[in-house]
Amino acid sequence: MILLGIVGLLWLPSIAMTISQAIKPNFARSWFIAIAGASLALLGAFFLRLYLPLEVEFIRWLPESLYHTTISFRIDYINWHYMLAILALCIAVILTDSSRASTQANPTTWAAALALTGLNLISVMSKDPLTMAISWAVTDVVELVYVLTFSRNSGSTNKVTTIYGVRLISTFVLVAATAVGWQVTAGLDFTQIPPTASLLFLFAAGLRLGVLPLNFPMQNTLELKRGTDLLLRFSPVASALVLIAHLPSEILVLNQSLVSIISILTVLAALYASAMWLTRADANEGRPYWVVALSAFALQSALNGQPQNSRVWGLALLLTGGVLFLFDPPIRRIRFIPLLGLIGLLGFPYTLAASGWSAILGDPVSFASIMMILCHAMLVGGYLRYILEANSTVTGLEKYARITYPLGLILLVQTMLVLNLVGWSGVLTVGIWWGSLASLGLVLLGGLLTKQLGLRLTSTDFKEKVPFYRLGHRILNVLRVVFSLDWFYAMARWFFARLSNAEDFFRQVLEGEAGVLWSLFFLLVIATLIYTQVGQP
Amino acid sequence: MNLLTTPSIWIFLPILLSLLLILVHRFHKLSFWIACLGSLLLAVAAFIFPQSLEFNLFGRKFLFDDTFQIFNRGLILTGSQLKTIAMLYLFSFLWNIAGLHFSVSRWFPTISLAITALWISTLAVKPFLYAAVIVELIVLISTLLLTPRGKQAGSGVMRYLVSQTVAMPLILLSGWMVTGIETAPSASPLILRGTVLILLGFSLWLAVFPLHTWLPMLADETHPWVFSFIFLMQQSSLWLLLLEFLDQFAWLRNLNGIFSVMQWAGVLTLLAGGVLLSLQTRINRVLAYLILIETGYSVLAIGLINQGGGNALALSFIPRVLAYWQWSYTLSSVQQIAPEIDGSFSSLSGLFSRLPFHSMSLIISLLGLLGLPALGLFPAKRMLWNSIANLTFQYTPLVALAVAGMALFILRMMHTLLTPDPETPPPALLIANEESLLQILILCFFTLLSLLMGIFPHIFLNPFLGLLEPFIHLLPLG
Repeated sequence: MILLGIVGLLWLPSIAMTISQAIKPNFARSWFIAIAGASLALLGAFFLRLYLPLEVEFIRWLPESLYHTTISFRIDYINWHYMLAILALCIAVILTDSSRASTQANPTTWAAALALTGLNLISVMSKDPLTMAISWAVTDVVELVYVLTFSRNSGSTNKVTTIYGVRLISTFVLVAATAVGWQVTAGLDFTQIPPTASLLFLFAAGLRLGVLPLNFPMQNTLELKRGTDLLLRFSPVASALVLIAHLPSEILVLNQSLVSIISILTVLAALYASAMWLTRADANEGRPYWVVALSAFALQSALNGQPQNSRVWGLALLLTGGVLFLFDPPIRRIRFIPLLGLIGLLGFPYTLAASGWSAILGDPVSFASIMMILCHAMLVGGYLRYILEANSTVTGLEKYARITYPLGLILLVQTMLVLNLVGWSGVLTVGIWWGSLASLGLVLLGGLLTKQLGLRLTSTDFKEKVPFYRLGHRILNVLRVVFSLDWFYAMARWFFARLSNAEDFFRQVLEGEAGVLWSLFFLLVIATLIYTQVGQP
Repeated sequence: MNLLTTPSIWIFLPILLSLLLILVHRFHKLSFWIACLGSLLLAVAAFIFPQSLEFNLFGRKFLFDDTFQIFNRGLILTGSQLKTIAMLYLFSFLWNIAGLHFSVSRWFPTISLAITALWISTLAVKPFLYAAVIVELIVLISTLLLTPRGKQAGSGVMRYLVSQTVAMPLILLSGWMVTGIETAPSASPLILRGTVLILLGFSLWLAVFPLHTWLPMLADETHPWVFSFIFLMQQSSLWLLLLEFLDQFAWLRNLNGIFSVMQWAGVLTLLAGGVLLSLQTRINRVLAYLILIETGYSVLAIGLINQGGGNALALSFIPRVLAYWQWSYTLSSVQQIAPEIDGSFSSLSGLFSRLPFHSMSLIISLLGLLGLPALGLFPAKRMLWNSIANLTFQYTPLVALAVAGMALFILRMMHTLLTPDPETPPPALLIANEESLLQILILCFFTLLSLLMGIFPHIFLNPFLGLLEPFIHLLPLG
């Protein structure tokens, strides 16, 4: 029950805050309740490390012979660090949120942050695909309600349907994958996923992450940029990453050509997303690309037969990304803190991401491996760029905010360091050291070139200074058009319009004067078809 | 004549009550409350009544007979049918308690109670072929609700009457045709003809594709609250009647390929429902296609009866009813609050900014019917999906297409509800607080109930597995 206790430590303060705010509003008290609840949950999660693996059965649908289902949770070396990362992110969000004048930090959003983190933990802790599907469905609906409540007056609900649609499809793909898996083992859990179902599971996760097919499952509207909304945006990502980490390593025994096609698509997604990340105006604009690029890294790890090592890139996405995206306002004096966040991404020997290199490069090294190094370099380059371009000097920051704001960022860096020491057995490894060296070399080369040419993205003569700018710009634009899927939506609309016309015609026929006769005619046609295809009853 | 029988309580008493309600039908609220209370009492009584039909009260022993003889025919309600009776009166209660708030016919309480009693009598009448006559009677009575006073009967009502009336002789003929041929070989032409007649009769009754055209036509002409009640009762009872036919006619259930044909009929109906729903532009018609989809699932479940489809059917009854209830309640309420909504999709544009709880309720009830994990229908639908995945690959893409069609419609609907119409004033200029607290609480309650059923089906839905108990030949282990 200790697992559920941790979720309770998030939900109870959330309820308490909501009630206390309704009765007697008090900003400081609410903040304290939120921080206390989340910190206790983090401590509890940390101590769980001593008892891994840990299981709890929440509900068993009886009779067993009818349902074959238990709603149960499991914490092991695959998802414990995700749990820790999410909780750290939640605390960091609350700590930094109160110091941000640009967003509406208030107890309601903190209560929502705690509640959403609790829901997210449920997804992450799921022991079997069905529990995960249920938690995905609930989380998506809660998120939908939250987003609509938050943005209903701002007119920024255009993308909500698309985003929810993608999530809905991914949930049903997960259900379909479970149905396929059940043909081998009824009531299977994540340790029993058969290779025959693994591609479907991978597709469910890829869809949710925005990689397969490439889509950007995040809103980037003005009011959904930081704070609680970062949690909101990372929620579906974290649980999908856990799903990838649970996949069997025998994924390659499946249809080789299919795996190769998926791998090519994944590398393309990584390339496009990292190039876009590098070239955005600021970190917030690039946030969806950050998520997609590192999710593609996780997927590539699974495709290379090392799904467990995908956690490295998942943690980089959440923690390193968390440091950068919460670094707002980007105060020049403390930009060394987000720079420290690179520990989780660079993959130097004996750092957190070291074990991730072998997963994305694969064995033997191929063209895809080189592309992945290039993607990594672009991600690191973009990260550095956004920090180094930070030049804000904030005055008038509240006294408490001078402590809480950097503390929130440091907490994430500390979490990386802690995971680097005790994350899982074999975390301290040399890894493929030349991978990080090559990536860093590319970053330095790029930096030098930029300096040599005096390039700045915002400068007016940028286009003239960059060699092959027009070609590069055109390629990127073509890719943007292709990956935006606007052409697909246009095609779908065209097809839908034609189908609607056909439906309208048939409706008029069937509902007209001779409709009953037409119905009988169609019945005869269908009966004949079944008779000839299936055989006489 | 022994009046201490189960048919006296659950058939004649409510019919008597509905006759009394005719006298007070002008008192709108009173008649609704009498119908509510009557339905609730009958539902509770059926739920707590001992299966042995024997109990002690104040030191006296009461033994109820399960048979009532009338015109040399029997009405038999056994202890194993009590759960079905409880369920049907529960539906009547649910529709009457909320019907009070909508501008439906004054005759709604009277007729709804009578219809419920008559549907129970279709399940009780022996020989059961006579059920066809009672179904026809129900159809005739229903038209009183489907054609409100002062309005001319539309083409949908006429077609409904025609199709249901054509179904009756088909069912009766089948019984006459195969009398005494139980021992004949299954390839006998008479058995084949009898089977075709029965399947055709039920297809007309249940609006199986492509004989469904009257369903959307009728939905477009009728108040959603009335439509949902009539067809919920009709479908729920007819599925049980179909099971009764399969249970009683050994020649029917043993006919080679009969279940395979039903599987195909179910899948094609499901597919037609999904595809047609995805293209829908009239909000009132949506419920018709939802019913078509659910008919598809149910026929498929009966076709898969040997693979556990019966359990899926039994588990789906209550969550489906709640989803229909939520959909039709929300839609009726929306039409009551905003009469300018003309039923077209475009008239719903931006409704979320005006009626957020109603809009969310519409979406959640659709998601429930889609079979979204965590909502009420998921356990039953998952069983069917798993069964067809195990059985054959042929059905999988068709069912997937149907689910995709329904999902597409939900997303279209969501997009419409969220996207404000440029011609309407911004939300601040619209009337505030159009949703009453009671409405909000009701909508939230039904959403929560659906969630609880989806997460704890073994608590909320298992009692309804008892609906299958009477079919001892079809489901010997059930």
